[in-house]
Amino acid sequence: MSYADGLLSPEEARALEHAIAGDAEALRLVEQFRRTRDLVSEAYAEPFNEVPPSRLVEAIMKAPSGNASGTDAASLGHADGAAAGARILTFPDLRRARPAHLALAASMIFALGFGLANLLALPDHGGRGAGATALAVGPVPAASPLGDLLEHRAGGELSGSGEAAPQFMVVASFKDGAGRFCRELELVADSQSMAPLSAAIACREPDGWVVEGAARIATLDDTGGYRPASAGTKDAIIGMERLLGLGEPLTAEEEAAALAKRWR
Amino acid sequence: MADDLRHELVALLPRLRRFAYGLCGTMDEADDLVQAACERALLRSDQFMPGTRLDSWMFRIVQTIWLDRLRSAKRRKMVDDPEILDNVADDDRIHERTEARSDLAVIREEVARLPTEQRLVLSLVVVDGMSYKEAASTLEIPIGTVMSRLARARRRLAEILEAAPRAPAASGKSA
Repeated sequence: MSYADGLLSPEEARALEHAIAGDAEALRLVEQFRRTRDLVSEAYAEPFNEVPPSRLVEAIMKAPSGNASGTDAASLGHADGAAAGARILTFPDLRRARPAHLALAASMIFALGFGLANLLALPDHGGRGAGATALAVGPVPAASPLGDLLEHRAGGELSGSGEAAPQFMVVASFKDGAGRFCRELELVADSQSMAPLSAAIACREPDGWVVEGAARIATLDDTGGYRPASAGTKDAIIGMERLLGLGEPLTAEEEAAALAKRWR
Repeated sequence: MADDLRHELVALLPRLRRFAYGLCGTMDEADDLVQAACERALLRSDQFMPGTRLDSWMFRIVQTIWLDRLRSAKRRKMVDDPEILDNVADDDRIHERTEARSDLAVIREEVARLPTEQRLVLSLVVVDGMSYKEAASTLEIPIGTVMSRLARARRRLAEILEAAPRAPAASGKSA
């Protein structure tokens, strides 16, 4: 099961493949585990591909809090001691190797929030599930549009075919200090304006992609107008790319090679 | 500050909703569960241990409320609620029920019939994408228990899928 779930090291996986080669029953079990993982993941992917209902967001923003002592934002959810607000690195540095046609946001000074990820949600322009316009820090289901984009698509390709809806796009791929492949992605308003609304960095773990951090760049108002994010949504932000130790962006050839090897 | 926790909770919503969907089987129930969990977390935010993972804490709150609701329903003898039926291996009935359903619909229906402890592990590992170790830590059970429950749940689902008739629109991966 660990093998089917991609949780073995390459050496362990090779040893197991060797051991079960020709064992029809073992191979059948592996296939069963893979199939159930894929189907169950897909069966419950819907909430990831949708903007959460506004009543839930309102309930959270308005619910009474019993917080007497104050909860430090920098400590929430992160045991690695990454203190918010300490280091800020701007994206233009990170993007210097991007193709010119992708450098739409390069003049915008912003940074990624690691400790304080905002929900990157938009008004639902594209109908239920159509736009895949919510980002959350954490694992990305392989069966989701974002999971497909990260795993299978080259930089510069859009996640959807429709022109009017917000879509994801990978803008650069990297290796981090731990040797993982990471990809910087943007949510753009539509394929015409390519106006960036939010950005995130996702890294490839053995069992799939994980969004490590995300930040809002701008929002669309009710009339579709483009509003850069207020300072309040960008505060308490640290240089996530520096924390991850991201190196130089991969060249197109290097990215293509990594894609072909499924980011191994 | 509580405002920071609120933003963290909103950022976690897609994962919390997916986890709750795996437990409840319907989005309406899942959203009610997530709302109750977020409200409880805010009320008890001073109990959150700084330096620990917010996602694990929230998943535990969702789990606690879900189990409380199941027990409450059982006490009220709502035995016709499929949420609280024990796992039933009645192949004839399963065939009838799953006739002309897609693989994904069959999966959702059968996950809802798994024992609660198997549904919890399945929702954390397969639906949310946690590692076995993270799920063990969240549920505060040994990793071996996570793996055995997960394997039992998935073998059960595989048996059902192999036995179920396929809808025309199914994935075509029939056994």
